Amino acid sequence: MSNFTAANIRKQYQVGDQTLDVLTDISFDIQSGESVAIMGPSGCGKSTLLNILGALEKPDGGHVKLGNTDPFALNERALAQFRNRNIGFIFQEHHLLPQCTVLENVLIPTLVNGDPQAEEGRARELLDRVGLSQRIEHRPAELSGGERQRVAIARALINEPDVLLADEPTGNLDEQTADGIADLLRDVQRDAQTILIVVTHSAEIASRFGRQWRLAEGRMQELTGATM
Amino acid sequence: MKRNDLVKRSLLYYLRGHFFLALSAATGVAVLTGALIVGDSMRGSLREQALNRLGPISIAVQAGRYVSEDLPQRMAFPDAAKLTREKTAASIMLEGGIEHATTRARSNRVSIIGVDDQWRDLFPDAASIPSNGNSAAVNVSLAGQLGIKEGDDVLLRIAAQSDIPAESLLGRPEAATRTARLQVTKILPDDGMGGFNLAGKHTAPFNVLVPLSTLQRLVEQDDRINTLVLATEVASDANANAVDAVQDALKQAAILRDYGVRIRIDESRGLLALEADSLLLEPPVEQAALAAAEALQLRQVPVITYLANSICKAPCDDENKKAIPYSMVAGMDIATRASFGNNDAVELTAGDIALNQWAAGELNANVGDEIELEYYVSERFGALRTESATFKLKQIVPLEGWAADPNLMPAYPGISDAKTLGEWDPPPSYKIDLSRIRPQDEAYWEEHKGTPKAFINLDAAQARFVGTGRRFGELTAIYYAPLDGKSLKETRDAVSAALLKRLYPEQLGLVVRDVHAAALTSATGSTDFSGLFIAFSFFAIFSALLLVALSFRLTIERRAKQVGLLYALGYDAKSLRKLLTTEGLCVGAVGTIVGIPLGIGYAYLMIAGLRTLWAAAVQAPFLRVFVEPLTIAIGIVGGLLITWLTLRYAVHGLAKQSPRALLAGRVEAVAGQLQQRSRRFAWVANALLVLGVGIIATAIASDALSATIAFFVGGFALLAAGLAWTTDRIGRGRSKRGVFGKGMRGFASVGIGNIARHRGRSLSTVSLIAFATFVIIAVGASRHVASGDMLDTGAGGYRLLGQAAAPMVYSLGTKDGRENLALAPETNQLLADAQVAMMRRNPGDDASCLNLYAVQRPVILGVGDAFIERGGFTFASSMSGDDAESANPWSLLNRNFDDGVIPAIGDMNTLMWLLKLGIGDDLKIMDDNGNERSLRIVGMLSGSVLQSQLMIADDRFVDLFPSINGYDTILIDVPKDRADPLTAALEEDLTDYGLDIESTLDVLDRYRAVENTYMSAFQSLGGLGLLIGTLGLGAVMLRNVNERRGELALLRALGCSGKMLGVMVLSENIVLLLAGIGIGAVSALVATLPNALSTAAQIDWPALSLTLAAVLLTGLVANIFAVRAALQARIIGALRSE
Repeated sequence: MSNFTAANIRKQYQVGDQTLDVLTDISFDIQSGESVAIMGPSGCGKSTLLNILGALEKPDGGHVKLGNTDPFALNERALAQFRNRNIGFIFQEHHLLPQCTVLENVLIPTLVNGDPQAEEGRARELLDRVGLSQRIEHRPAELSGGERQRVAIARALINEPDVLLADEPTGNLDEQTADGIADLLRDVQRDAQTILIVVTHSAEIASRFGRQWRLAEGRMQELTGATM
Repeated sequence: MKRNDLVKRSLLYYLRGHFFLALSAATGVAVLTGALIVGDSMRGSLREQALNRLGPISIAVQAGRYVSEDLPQRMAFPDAAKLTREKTAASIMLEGGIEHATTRARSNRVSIIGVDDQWRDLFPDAASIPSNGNSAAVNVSLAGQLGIKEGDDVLLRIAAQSDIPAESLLGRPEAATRTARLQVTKILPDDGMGGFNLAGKHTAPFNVLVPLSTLQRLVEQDDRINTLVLATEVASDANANAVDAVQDALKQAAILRDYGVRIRIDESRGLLALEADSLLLEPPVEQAALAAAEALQLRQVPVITYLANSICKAPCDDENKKAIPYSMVAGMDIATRASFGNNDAVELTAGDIALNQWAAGELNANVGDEIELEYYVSERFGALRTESATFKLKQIVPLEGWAADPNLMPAYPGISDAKTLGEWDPPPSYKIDLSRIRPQDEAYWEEHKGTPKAFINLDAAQARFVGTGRRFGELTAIYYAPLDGKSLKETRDAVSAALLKRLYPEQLGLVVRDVHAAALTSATGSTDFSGLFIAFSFFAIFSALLLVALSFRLTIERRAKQVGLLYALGYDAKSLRKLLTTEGLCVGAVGTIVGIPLGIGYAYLMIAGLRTLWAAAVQAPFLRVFVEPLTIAIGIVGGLLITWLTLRYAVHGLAKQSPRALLAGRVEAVAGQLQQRSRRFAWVANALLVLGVGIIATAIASDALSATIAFFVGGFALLAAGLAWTTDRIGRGRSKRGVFGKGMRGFASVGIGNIARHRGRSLSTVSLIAFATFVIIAVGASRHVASGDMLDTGAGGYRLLGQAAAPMVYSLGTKDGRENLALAPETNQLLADAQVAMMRRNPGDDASCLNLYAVQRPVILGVGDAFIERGGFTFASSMSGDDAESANPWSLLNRNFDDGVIPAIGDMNTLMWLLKLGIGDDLKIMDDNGNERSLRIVGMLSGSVLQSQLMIADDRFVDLFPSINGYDTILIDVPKDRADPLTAALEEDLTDYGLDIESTLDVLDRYRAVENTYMSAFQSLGGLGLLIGTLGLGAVMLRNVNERRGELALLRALGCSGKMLGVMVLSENIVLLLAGIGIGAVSALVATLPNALSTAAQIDWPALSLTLAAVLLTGLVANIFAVRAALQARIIGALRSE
């Protein structure tokens, strides 16, 4: 297991003639087995940060390291591999493939270079773990919102990533279901001892995770008070 | 689960979306395959027809002369050649004219074929052809054309082929045609014997089948033939071997008689004489004979005997009553000749003459006196010029022994066989003054016939008498002394064998042709119809592919989030592209499979079109669809390949999208990037605009750049400039525009602003419409309406074009010529101050756009000096030369190339499309003696009436084709009001020649009709492209509106009426439509300017405007339909689904 560090991350966007500083100087260090909730107002750059951490978007400055690997130093192919092996994404929109069954959706990441057949047992275990063993052959359209997000969680775990990144995973769910999903997330993270970073609006949800940070005006603040 | 399973799942899940993609791919494949099948069908049909025309015949020997009809019997074939005499047939085949005896309907180019029992063995249906008597059979096509019914009488006109060339001094030009009245007893179908034809021409032949014996009698060639056909096994190698075998057999079997020569034994004078049927020994015979004599070490005396109008003591004048009229003069070495009989005679040098005793006595001449000869020399058009020469009398020879040989005068029907001088019957141009003939002249004729009265040196005689007729030969006979110790008969056999060894059948026009192979070659077609229809369908294919790209892109865009997810899950760009392309390709494969049968159907439609709607272009009712397996394979592979390339293009930009945008469902370049690129596009647009305008202006200003190149390059540059400009405009978006206008204008401006939302889609739409409009307008602008202005540019000012069934030797352009042709006084009046160009013609394949077969031997015309000097016609291009040549490119025909290649001029269409030749290119042809010669293209005419031929200078023509006597192609420059009466008068007066006159403007109209019909086909297929394009536009619109259902529903919830929303959506699409039409139309019109300004073509503006309006209307209807469909969606549902 490795720790996940970010140092002096900066990101700007060009909107018309104006330059918008989204992230000005973000640094942190997360040990494996830790879970972090990031809160902040809309448009503060939470998702941008998550995209950078997930190696989907390159920062304008600073660097990210998982263990000794700087993903942005990798070539495109290796970067894709890095995402596939080390990062598990859970989005607000579950992004399940409507054409595939629940089981197949979970197995999608293993298509990149794994052997989906070999991983099928594990996929069934994960689906059992998230409470969907009865729904394995269903299509996403036949599931409720909460069930879909559970599938997404199982899919994020299939390649046993070091880092789970969840972007507003409960944003589209009712309160009861959201609670269930948040608990599930925390539980699977504990079981797997991965790093979990959850972006959320909800302080209640955030409180279930080990550390709580607030992102505002491009900077991160640990809610214990110290600026990071 | 495997990757393929994911592809499979996606295919099934997005079935509806893929349906459109498959349909687009199917359309592309169908149009491509269909075009290829049209080419197959054209080739297949031509091949089928060409072979049908030949029936079982695969080899033909077509002689430029008549040979003995037992020649085939003398031929022995080796067993290996699998040839038998049973499979051969001999015939006389001629081109001639036919006239219905009662209706007087006539046709001047019919094939007349003599048929005997051998033919009946080869063609079963030939059994019904009458076997003798004055009867004939015609085929259905000819019967239909002239309204001939069984039992009707017809007049057959045949160019008589005399042994003596019509244009040689004593040739008989006036006896050009024989006419016979025959009863048609049978009308044969156009296949079998009725359709038999050795020439590659796709229009039905007009065949007249006459009993061979009747035809032989008609052309006064009893027991002789000019064609031999053979049926062989036609496996290509076997046939090539058979051709060699026939060539050998012909060489072995040919006897001197077949070459038109004989060796006469003159027992009384103890010599042999080699003489020709044609008065003069043809040059190949002369060369072979001289060589043979040398090899045998024979003593020989070459002779030329000529007719002198007067022999007198110099000077010959009208007062000189002592002149001896109409006497033979022999040019020969009299010393050698005398030595045959161990007699003496002095050697004559160039200025010497010897008279016989009788002549010397008549003239009271003594050795040393000046003796003058007056004689005719032949000029062009059968004209004779009187010349005279003075010699010094060297010797007076006694009228005995070698000097008393009447056979020195060659046999000449009408003269040598005349009982008295007064009965002489020379050709009409050879004027004889009977009053000059005195009793003593008649007495000499009675006693000595044509025994020469004077002898001169051979070289001097040839130099003076032969003149322009050198091509016919320079000797009337060669005398041989017997070989030492051999009898005359033995010597004759030796000479005969030595001569035959040195003569080759092809030198004397006995050419063996592999007609089967020639048919197959010509059936490859003059035009690559696959290519043509691919070009015609190019836009339809292009539109279909653009739709493939567009629909695939739309499918992908709908699934942008999925793509983003896969990206996030660790797929790299390459794998993603592969995944998507595989999926698309599967759909493409289904489309391809569906497209093949559709393509066959499309080909059926095209062929049906060529047989009906576009029949004027090809005139080939025999066309049927041929589907070659290879073509299907090409269709499938080609379809998959272009679909694959298109899909690659469609997913190309995907990797550049940010995953974040993809996850949010957006697939477009970010604003900043695009603006940057947009500046680049503005620069590109300006550069292309300058390039396009520059090219077109250059083409207008000078001839250096052809209008065609300017059209393609300039037009494409302008089109690309327009599209680059659009890209620039769309790229800029509406960011700077601020608040929108009031009312409906406001909605319109919101709509127009939407264009920038999906830039790729908008640009595709504009491109599609612009390309379709470009094609349709460009074709429309190239369509020419009939225009009288073509008289000068296309016909060189000549209003009439005449074609004679039998060549005329006399000129219609001179007073003497008209007199010799015995024109009526009224006709003469109509012809007064008309300019006439008479041209020789070597027959061959019609090289105009009216012939579908590949042109192997184009028709060649010999044009005279007057025609060349007159100039005229519009040249598309010519070999650059000096000022005179630039001013009148016709004069390039007189150029002498160092390599001896002959300059030729042809029509650009013929040269470029049918012969695939350009300026400076050489074309190999075969001359009369079977030698390969080259013609070099020095000029190309633009849209001329002389489309089916190549033109060379007359003197070069005569050198190439000495066997062609006379002129059968005539151009006449006559005022408009006299054209019709002159046509009628000439056709009447020259019935014997089978003269057929047509207005050159009518001929040009016929060519133009073909061109315009092709344009129609092009335009129709362009229209098909536009239809596909419009479908695409509709699909894009539906997609756009569908995407914005929520947005539109919201606007309705806010109180906007359906009309307002309609205006908003429509305005966006109308702008795209107008931009496409504008760019396409303007670039097409500008690109066609050089062509429109340079030729006398008139653009059909009303038709063009109508086309434009139709394009606009189609687009609008598609728009309105899409908007209506979209706005019918219910508000609440749409809002909820958001």
